[in-house]
Amino acid sequence: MGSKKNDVARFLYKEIVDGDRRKAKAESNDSASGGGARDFRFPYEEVLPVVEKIFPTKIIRGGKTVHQGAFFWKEQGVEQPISRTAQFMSPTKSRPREGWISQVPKFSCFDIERMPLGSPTNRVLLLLIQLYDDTVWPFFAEERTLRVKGAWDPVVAQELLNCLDAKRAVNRAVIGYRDFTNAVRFCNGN
Amino acid sequence: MATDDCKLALKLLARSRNVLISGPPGTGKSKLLAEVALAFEAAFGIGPAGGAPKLNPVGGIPIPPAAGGAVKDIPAPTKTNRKVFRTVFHQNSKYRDFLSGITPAVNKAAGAPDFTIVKGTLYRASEHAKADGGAALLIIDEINRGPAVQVFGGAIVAIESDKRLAADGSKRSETQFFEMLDPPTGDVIEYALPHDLYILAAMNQADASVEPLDVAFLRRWEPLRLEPDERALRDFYGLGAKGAGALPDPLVNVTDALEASVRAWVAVNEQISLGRGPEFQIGHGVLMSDVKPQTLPLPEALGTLCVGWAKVRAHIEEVFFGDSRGIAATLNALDGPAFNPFKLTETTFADDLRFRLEGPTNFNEDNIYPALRAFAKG
Repeated sequence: MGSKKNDVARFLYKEIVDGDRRKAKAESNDSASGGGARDFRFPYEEVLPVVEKIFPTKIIRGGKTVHQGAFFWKEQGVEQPISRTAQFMSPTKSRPREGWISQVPKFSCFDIERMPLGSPTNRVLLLLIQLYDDTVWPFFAEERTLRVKGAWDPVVAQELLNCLDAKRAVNRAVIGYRDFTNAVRFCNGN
Repeated sequence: MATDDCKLALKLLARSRNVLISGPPGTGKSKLLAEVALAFEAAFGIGPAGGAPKLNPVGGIPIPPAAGGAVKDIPAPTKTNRKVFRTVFHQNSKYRDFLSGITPAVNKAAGAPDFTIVKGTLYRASEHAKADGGAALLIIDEINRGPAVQVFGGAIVAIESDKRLAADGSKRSETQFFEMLDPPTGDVIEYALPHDLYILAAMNQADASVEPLDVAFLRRWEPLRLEPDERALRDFYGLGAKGAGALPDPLVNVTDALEASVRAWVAVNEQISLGRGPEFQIGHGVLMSDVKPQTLPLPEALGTLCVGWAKVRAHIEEVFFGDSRGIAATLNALDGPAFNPFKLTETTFADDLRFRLEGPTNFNEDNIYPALRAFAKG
C-alpha cells in the first residue's frame, strides 16, 4: 500500500456558467448594473451530504445554518499552501432550494485569470477536492482535458464525463459529487 | 482505508474471479464482505498501489492517473460502471432465484401472461458486467447454508476463471456455455459468464450445511481463510502484548478483567481445536461490540464481558453438544482450580456412569472474573 498523502476522499463539482464568470469578475449575475452576489450556487438538499463533510463546522447565524470549512491552494513560487476559511450558506426564503459558497472573490484560486474560458463544447467545472486529511482544494477542470485518455485519473474522468454527458434541461448547470469513502455519488442529470 | 484482508481479497478476486472466505464464527467474514464491496464499488485501488486517486496540487491536472503504469491486484481496474450484487443462501434458495426460472406473475395487467421469468441475482450481475464499462461483484454470504450446487446449476463450470468470455465479450475456445431460460425472450439459450464478473462468497465451515459443498464445487474457488486473531482482540481492548505475570486475585481494575478475557478466549480456542478441530473455534468478533469496555467503570465493563462470554459459552455447548466432559475440559473444569464456578460431577444412572457439568446458569459481575481466570488457567 502506498502513502495516503494526497489521497482523494471525495469531490464536489459544478459547471461554471456565464453568470459565475461575471461573479468572479465582480459583475452582477443578472443585470448590467454591476454588483450582485459573488458566490457559487448549488442545489442545497442534493449536495448537503457532501457539503457537511467538505464544510464540517456548523454555525447558526441569524437563524440560518452556515457550513464552515477551509480551502487550500498553492500560489506559484510559494512553498506553503494558502488557506482561507470558506463558508457554504444554507437557503434563504427568497431562494429556498439554493445553497452557495459565499465571498468567492476573497479566494485567489477563483480569480478570473485562473478560470478557463470554456465554450459550449469545452465546458468548465469547478472541483472541490477533499483529501483524507480533510483539507479541501478547489480546482477547475476543462471538458476537453477530461476527454483526453490518460490525462486524468480514469475513475475521476469517467465520473465527470458521465455527468457532463447526462441529459438535463439546457439551462441547467452540471452539478454532482462522488464520495470514495462510501461509494455515494450524485449527478443532477439522467 | 482498506485493511490487509480487504486488499488480499481484491487481489485474489483479480486473479481468480471466485473467492471463498471461510473461518470460524466471529472472525470477521461478513465485515470483510462489506469492506470488499465498498472498495470494489468505490473503485479504491485504481492506483497501482491499491489506493484512492491522488491529488497533485501543483500540476496542470489536479487528479492525474496514478504513476507506475499497469494496475495490478485490483478487479477490473479500467471499468468505471461498477456495481455490487448481494445474496444470502438459505435452505430455500433456488436456481430460479439465482439464474432464471418461471414464477407466477403478480399484479399483472389484464391479458398479460400468467407467468413471468425471473432475472436471478447471478444473471443480473452477469448482465451488468457485460454492459459497456461494466464490472460486477456478486457477494454470497452463508454459501453453505443453502443447496449451493443445485442453486448454481449449469453455471457451476462456467464460473471458472478460464471458462469465461473474453474481456471484449467474445467467445473463446475455452468458454463454457450452459443452457438457461432467457429472461427477455423466454427461450432456452446458451449462456456464458463475462470476464468482469467477480464472485465473493463466505461460509462458516463449522456450520452444518443443508447439503455439503462437494470437492468439485470447492475447487472452483480460491480460498481465503480467516482465523481468530488475538492481536485484533487486544487492540480492541486497548491491551498490549501478553505479560508474563499471573492474573491478580482479587480483581483490581478493568484492564485485568480484559486481560483475563483475552487469555481465557485463547485457552478456550486451544481446547476447542484439540477437542473438535480448529474450524470450530470462536472468533474474536464475538467479544467485540460498539462499546469499548476499557472506557467503562469496572461493573459495566464486567457486564459487557458477561454478554460476550454468554455467546462463547453457548458456542462451546453447541460444539460439544452431548459431551459434558468436552465442555468441562474446554472450561478447565476437569481438574481445574477451586475458584472455577464450573465443576464436573460424576453420578450414575441405571448403573451407568454419567457426567454432569454444574455451574452458574448465567455469567454475572460476581462470577465472570473467577470464571475467566479459571478458563485462562491462571
